Amino acid sequence: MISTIQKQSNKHLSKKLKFLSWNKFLPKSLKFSKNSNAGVVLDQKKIPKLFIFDAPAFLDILSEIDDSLAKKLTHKEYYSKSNNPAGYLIDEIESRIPENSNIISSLKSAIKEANIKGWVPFSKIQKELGLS
Amino acid sequence: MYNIIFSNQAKKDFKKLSKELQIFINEKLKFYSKQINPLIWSKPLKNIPPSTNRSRVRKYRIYFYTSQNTIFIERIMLRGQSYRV
Repeated sequence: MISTIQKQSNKHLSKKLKFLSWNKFLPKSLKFSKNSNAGVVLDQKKIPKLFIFDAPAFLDILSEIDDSLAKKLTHKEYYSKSNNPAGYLIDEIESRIPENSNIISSLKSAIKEANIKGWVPFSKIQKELGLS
Repeated sequence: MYNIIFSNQAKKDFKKLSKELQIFINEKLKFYSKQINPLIWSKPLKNIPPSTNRSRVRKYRIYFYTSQNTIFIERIMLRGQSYRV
């Protein structure tokens, strides 16, 4: 998708500007999900002037920040708007995105199965996995 | 104080995670269980009975509902699998 946008945009952008996929600038350790698209517009001096993210790409970026903060913040700080604005934004965006229909049926089937076969106490799982 | 119980599917999801994530989620669940209202750390999903909530834990989402001082963990899934954009 980005390459299509890139071709179309480059026709319309000033000759002094260039639109490139953001993947070219990402470190190898940071990977976007397959359906993510992002781009950056550079000027003649290769200075970034404009960043464009679709929703999955923007969530990928926020999630990277959220993930690194998770290791440093307390539980309450992790869910706090002021301590973890990336996490707060993720929650706000995700709450406006429809759930995947497969997930909804998967949740319903998990509940149905557990109601028939029984729910597993967390303490039992903790013991099995050596967690306290 | 809340009891926590897992569906078999959630148990499978949890066991598949790395040890680091298991430890992390273990701590988060212990934290939820000590809260007066664990729902404040999560977002409600619409149109899914019983009223399921989703909690963000790093790149994973914990789906659960509460009833009578019990937290029912339905599934633990990767962020990207959870919604369509």
